Amino acid sequence: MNPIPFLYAAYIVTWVIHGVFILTLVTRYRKADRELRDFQKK
Amino acid sequence: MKTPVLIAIAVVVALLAFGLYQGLVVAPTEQTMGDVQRIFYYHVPSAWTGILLFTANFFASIWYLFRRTTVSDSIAVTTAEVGLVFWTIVLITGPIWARPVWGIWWTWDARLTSTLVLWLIYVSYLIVRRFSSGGQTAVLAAALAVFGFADVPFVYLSIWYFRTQHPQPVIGGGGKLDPAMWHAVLYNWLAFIAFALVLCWFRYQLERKQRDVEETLALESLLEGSPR
Repeated sequence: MNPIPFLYAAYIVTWVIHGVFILTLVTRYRKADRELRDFQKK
Repeated sequence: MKTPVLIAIAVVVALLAFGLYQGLVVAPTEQTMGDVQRIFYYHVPSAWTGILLFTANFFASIWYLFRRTTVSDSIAVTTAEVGLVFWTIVLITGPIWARPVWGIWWTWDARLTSTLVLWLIYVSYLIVRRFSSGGQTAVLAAALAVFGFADVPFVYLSIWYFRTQHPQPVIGGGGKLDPAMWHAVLYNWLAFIAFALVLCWFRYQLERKQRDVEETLALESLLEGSPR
């Protein structure tokens, strides 16, 4: 069994998980910020 | 974004790139397992960082139970969420390493099972926080975090007291690691800690913003309900 794809898979999966998490943080922050601005406009 | 934050991000990116270089290029190839052993340079530092964050969550939860401060509760949810991200990586990179080395993806031994249980505990913690309603959510979550943390020492000690498939611990396990391998582990751990701190900072800002929204909502509903 060639182990190299497993090595790359582990490193890629790590950064995909971190990337998805950062993306959810940004999305949630923008949503909260928009909601707060909407309230302040009222 | 403010300049200190940008500097912190630049430092973290540099540290992560250096750690990656150490793990993939500088560290020698392990004689028995070959290159697949390099997964170790992400798997182990992720586990140590996860444990650090769960420990921070434990102390923040105790702090919250005694003082009931918003800061302690925000730190607790922040560290639990970021810790869970690192723990998810541990649970995924472990089986990816195990398949070519052991010939199996997973086995229900004490180390692997307790690691999965720890992941489930913090998933439950975040589910409680997300879906529980009422004023006692933070208290319930803090109590769950304090009792759930009991699994952390069990995860570490499981390979000492049970016969497991998992290798012996890097620290205190009696095995000897090549100095260059040690450097790769420690550089990556340092990079992951710095990265975790930046993630925690962003998650904490999000928590503050969400609390502002909740307070504004509560205030608005109060004003709408009050007699004019």
